[in-house]
Amino acid sequence: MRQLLTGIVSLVALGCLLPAAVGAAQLKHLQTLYADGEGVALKLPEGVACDEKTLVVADTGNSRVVIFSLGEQTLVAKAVLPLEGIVPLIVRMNSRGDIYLLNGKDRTVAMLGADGKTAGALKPKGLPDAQNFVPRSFAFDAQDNLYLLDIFAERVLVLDAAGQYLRQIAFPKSYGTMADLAINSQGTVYLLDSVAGAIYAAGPGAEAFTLLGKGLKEYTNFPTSLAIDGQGTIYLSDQHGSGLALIGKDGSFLGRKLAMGWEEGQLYYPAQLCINSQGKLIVADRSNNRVQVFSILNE
Amino acid sequence: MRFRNPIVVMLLAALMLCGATAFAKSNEAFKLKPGAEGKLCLTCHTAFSGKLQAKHIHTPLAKGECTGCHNPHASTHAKLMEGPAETICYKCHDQVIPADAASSHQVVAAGKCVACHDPHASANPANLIKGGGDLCFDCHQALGKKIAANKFSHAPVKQGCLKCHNPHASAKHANLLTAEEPKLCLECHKTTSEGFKKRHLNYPVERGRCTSCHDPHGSNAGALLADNVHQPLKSGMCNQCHEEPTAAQPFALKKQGFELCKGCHYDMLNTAFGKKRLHWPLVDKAGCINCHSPHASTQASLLRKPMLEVCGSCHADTLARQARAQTKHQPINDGECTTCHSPHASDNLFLQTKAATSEVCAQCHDWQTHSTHPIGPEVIDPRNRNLSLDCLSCHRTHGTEYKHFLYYPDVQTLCVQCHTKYRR
Repeated sequence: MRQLLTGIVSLVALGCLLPAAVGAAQLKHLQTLYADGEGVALKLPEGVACDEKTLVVADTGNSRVVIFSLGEQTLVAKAVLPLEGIVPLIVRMNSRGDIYLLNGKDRTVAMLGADGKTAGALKPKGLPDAQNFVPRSFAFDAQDNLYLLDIFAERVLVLDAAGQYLRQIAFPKSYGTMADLAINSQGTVYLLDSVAGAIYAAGPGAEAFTLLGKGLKEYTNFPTSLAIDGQGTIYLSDQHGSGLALIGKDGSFLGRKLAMGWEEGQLYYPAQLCINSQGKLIVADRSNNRVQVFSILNE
Repeated sequence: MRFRNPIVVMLLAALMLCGATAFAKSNEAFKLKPGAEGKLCLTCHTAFSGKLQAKHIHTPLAKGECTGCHNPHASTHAKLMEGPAETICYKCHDQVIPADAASSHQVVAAGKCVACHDPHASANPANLIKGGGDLCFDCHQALGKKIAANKFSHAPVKQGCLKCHNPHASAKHANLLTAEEPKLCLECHKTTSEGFKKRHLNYPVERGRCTSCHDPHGSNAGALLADNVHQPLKSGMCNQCHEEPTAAQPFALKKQGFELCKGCHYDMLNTAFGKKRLHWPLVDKAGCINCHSPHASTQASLLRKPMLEVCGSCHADTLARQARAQTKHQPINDGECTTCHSPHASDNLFLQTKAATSEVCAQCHDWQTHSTHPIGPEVIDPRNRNLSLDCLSCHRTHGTEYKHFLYYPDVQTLCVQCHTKYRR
């Protein structure tokens, strides 16, 4: 009887603590990247993309991509890909390791082959209203479908892995300025509105976005990038707030992490984030001219 | 007068009972002698006898009920007020801002009723401090000056602001308007005449928003068009951008976003698109009209509003920082964001006008006269080997909670961030 009671009490206590544990996710600073393998310093890096083995850095100020091997404890510069006529603002990788870049110069999505050579700009096939198309960001889902944030036609376009148009989801009726999107492992699309300080969500197959939670204006300054961890927690890179904001699946505010500064573990106008399946969170610490690697500790 | 309806009789009785109860409450609270709730006050506050001669007297004072607003013994609020000055008026006047009002007057929302009303008595109706527009122009000074200087005036403006605006709030309309556009305008302006139609090139403007072209407060351009008029409108070439007036949707645009503006502003857009960093709103669905009025504007460069308001509509966080800052940055105070930023595009971060931050700052600040601290590309930031020292190493241009835009509360704390051996 006593064992049964103890078990019930423990379960209740665990139930109470679980939401707190999500909110209390800690970040442990692992490493800071200042340069490529040759010692050439990073300059205003805006983009980072990562999986279990690779970290790709869009070294925007140097107009190049730097690729690192991502080990358990180490990061080793593997390759440098100079870019001609591309200002890389956002970088993503699909499951095959192909690198895609948002080119700030001509507002196209540039594709890099595995050899690092530019394979030209993405040309979506079968796009409705194709002349009205300006991508602001993009992301891949687990099936390598490509989601494009089209700010000109106010929609999210879904293309298959071959670039063929599949469907579109209109932006919500009222919004500020859409800056980024992310897709979680279940296929839910999240849209980030920098100006309204809001996240909108559309479940798998949904035809419309709905506001997640009650808005985050009072907790964020000007968030510009978002990434989702394995627990479903949303991480926002709050560029003007020089920190991260953590948001629960339901849109609830879980807290802020990191703060403005120049020392390691601090951020100065950060840009893109990425999180891999091993729980590594990587931040393009843009105005600090570096990339920082953290480990998410969900204790 | 005979009341036949028993419901009316009951309502009147209830009202009288309520009034009597409220009065009794005030008396009960202070155990006042008869007349002491107000008349007794005047034996000391003799200056108020003059107030009582005014044409309009606040009801509690007229009734001799000073205790309606003041505590005769003691108070935690100034002037022995019974409650906070910001909320005490709402004890009786709780309906001045309707719930979910579409717009409300800032001073009313802040509870600063005495900015407009004399709480005791006044020569003006509603106990207003001044009559007519003079009161409004005490705060809305720029508008008052413009109205006075306008070549062409709008008749209702002379009749007073309340001809079109509610002074406290508007339940359903923006800008405190008494009715929505164009309904408000059409209360005076008849749209059926041939002259009206001809002047508007047969476009059904009675379905549009008059203030997108006209300045209701008067202007220096003919036909009360706002002072700065977009060339196609000036030339009467609405169909340069819009469909023909006979079309099913005459106001539909011929192209969307920047594509429409590109027809004339090709060079400007081409230059912007050649830069490394574009201001993203330029290429969204609204495009140029995110910031510019397509028809006419009171602002230079056809900006929709003063520059600070235009930029602040998205970058509210940045303006809030300046508002909180102990030291204000002059260009922001002056609403001149373009002193440092290129609004369309730039090759530089934050759309700065120049590549090096110190060059941007040097437009106004001769930094070597205020500091001999070495800065420049060759001076490495001890906190981060990938950074060199520049103005932003110590100052945050849009302000911090500390003086001189410093990141830290005092100079010593700032210096020891790098000069660590002097840390205590």
